[in-house]
Amino acid sequence: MRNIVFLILLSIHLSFAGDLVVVANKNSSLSNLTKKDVVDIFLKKRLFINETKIVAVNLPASNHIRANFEKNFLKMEPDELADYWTEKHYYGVTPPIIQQSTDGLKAFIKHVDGAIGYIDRDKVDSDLKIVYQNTK
Amino acid sequence: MGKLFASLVIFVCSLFASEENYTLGQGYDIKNTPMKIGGYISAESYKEKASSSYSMEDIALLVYGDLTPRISVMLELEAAGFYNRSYGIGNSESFNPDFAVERGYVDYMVNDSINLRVGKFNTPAGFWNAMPINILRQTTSNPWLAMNIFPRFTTGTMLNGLIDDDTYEYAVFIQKTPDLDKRYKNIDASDFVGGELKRSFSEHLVIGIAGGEFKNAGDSNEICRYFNLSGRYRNGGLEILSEWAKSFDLYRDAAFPIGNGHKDASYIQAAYRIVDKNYAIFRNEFYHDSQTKDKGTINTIGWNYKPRPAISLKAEYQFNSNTDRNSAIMSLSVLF
Repeated sequence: MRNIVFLILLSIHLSFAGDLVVVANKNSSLSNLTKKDVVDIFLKKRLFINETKIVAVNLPASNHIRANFEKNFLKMEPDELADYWTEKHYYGVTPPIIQQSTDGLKAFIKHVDGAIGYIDRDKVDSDLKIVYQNTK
Repeated sequence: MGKLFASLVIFVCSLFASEENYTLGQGYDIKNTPMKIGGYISAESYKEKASSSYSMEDIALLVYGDLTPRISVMLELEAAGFYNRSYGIGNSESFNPDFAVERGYVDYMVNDSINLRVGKFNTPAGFWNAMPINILRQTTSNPWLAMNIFPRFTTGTMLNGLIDDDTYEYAVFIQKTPDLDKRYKNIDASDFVGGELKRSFSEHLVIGIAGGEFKNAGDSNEICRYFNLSGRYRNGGLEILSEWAKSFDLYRDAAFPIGNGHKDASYIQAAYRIVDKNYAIFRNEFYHDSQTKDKGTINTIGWNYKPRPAISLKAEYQFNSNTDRNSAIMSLSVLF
């Protein structure tokens, strides 16, 4: 019985953790991105959308929201991403900048045109707009 | 130059030794600037029938960053053959602290489709030439193709970018000036023009075609044209790389005693992650130089252990059709 309760709680937690959205400044020209756009932006394969220079923003590597984003959106394991950014270092490409918390990430996005990040859906406020949500 | 480089490395490392956010293989942030600094080293041992050697093959410094949202710079200084100790034929010891500009360029990015690059950069031709340092490759050795068909570096102007999102990747370039730094060049070229087009057929498969024409700076009568076809398949722990290239040496002077020649070469390499951090590699290659009459095949089997993404320990054995050239190679490379 205890195991069943644990599994139910875990399922609820994973379901909640999976409800991430990608957001930008409410005045941003960014809108309706595709999943490929999001992946390309966070891997820095693409740096512009509609002539707007994009600034991808990450949470710290230890943050569970980032882990969720990398697993469910980028579909990459941490080791795979580390390999990727090591290769990119040779080409002069750096990983997305880091904000230490969701609040910091939101504040950054609100003040920087072209900034884009991921947060839990229930953290979206009126200064932000959702530019991509995972429909699964 | 060597002392300057060493002083610079020590100075920089001392400044950033306490950098909390440093990740090995991703460079140091230079505080209060948009720049990063990093580098790489490669130590190798090489043994064939008649000789063997141990070397600190490469020591290099990377400095790069975005000066503005659209302008970025890259500088790579490298000493090739920094230290070498050879035994057997040519028993010798050498030390080369001569740091050369391996790459040095400025990028102006209009958008993802239009990037203007000026300076010295990797010649866009195939996949191997885009990852010319040990740590990024699966083997210590290079295929014959990568070192003998076209100049590895170009000093000039290049236009490159993505088309149709990132389905296509193109590059066209022209060189009309002397090389920014001629040291360590495989081919000393001038008046170089060329380009490349790569297409992604899926997230796993990319096919490319490249070509160009250059003058041999050491022989004003010689013009060389080359073509390169390349393909890469990556899926999970499997990577397959293959390239085929052919070059023609054309002489304007019909009376030139050597006459026209050609080179052609190909390779196919498979790397598979056997267990976590461990890759097994097999490469088959063919090469032919009509002027030197050098022709053969090389089969390489190797192992690449990567305890961390920026550290690679490799061992390989090459079976050459000229058995005197069979060789065992080991290396340790680190990107920092």
